[in-house]
Amino acid sequence: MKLLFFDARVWRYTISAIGKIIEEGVFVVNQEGLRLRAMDPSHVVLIDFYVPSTAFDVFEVEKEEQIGVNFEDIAKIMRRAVKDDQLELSTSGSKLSISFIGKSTRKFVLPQLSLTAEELPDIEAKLQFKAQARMLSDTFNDIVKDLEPVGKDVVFEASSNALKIAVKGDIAEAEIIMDMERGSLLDLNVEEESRAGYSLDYFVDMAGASKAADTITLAFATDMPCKVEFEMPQGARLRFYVAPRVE
Amino acid sequence: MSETEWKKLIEEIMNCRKCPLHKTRRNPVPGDGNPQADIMFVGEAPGEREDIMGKPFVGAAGKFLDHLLDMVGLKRSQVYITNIVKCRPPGNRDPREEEIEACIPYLWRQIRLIKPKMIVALGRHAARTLYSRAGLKWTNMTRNHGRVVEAVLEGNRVLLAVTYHPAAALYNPKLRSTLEEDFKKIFREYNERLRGLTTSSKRSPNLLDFFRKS
Repeated sequence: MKLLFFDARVWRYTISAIGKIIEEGVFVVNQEGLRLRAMDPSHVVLIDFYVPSTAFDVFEVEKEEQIGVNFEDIAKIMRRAVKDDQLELSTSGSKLSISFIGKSTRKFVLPQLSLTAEELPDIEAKLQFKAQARMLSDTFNDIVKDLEPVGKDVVFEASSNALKIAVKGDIAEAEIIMDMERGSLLDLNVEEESRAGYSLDYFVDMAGASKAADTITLAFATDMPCKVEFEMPQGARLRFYVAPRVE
Repeated sequence: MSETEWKKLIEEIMNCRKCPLHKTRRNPVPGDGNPQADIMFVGEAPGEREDIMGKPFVGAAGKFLDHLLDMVGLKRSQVYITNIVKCRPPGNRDPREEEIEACIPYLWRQIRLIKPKMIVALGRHAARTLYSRAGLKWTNMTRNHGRVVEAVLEGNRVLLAVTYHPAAALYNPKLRSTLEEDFKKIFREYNERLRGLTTSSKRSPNLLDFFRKS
């Protein structure tokens, strides 16, 4: 197997965010592309990372391969990616090679873990999101940074014309109102007024992936899981589904 | 709980010769506290003082554990405290894989008999062992300390909480306040979630709950 992606930094930020939530995972590579689906140990977050075959400049896959990795190890390597580096992933036997192709070619080889991909049902089919808000990924990152020092639980509240994001801590509380009129939201689609709370920690962990994406979409419904989708270059996407905290 | 079975189990531990640790121990340390408690604490292995006294957490780390318990309004008599390995590894080294393997069935039997509502793993060895037994993926302590997850252990639905080993705070004083915060958080969550588990569906769901929905 040999894959070449045009911007290694997309992987750097994605892998770093994933590695904050799970320790190990399995990339499944087949004719359709590369996919990782995994849940965190407490079953609160499901990660779904997908890069279609068309997103790669080189996509040489003879048969489906499952590549087990330790995310702490792979994130350490991915941190070496710099501007203008392309990323090459290749396998040989039980080894995974990660090469950064830029002004020089830097190749790192690490053992694959003998893991099997988790069989997870299609959660998307079981959820009906009633509110969706799309924003620039930088906006999302700023919101998380604003809220992180205040408390541990975040509440999303969507009405027909605004999205309210609030955190209440032991000492302070914070509230951010976003709407399309002032440009903080790119899109807001509310089928039904919705309100749901989540553990902010997970949003802090996933916010690192903002640098790899142009926009993100938040989708949720009252007391239902939230989907955070990072829309990445070349049709790649990273989705996190987060279970709600019910008050 | 069957008292006869409990006595039999303690007796087995007291006479155990399943691994080489029995040759160097002074006393086996099966556990301490109330075997009918709702809360169990699981540490790693007895230290020197525990080996002499035959009780878990009686040294400096034990004093700190008493302080942590006191802080959340608990006494030793209201909880059960034990370790993954019941005999002291010489020189306080980490227990070896084969020692854990030989000893761990005692912990599983303790859990089956006590049927705790919450198990608090003290330190990464205990956390990793309990997560693994529950079929959960363990990441690391930095990420998981202070967390409470639902798990099924030995056929019982329990809350499984994780924090640092109290001895770690003796070497790294910064961890003292981390452990204190973890204890407060764990017991706050225990109270909230237990209410939810026993009286209504108010507990926070995880994604598996949504997978099950048709």
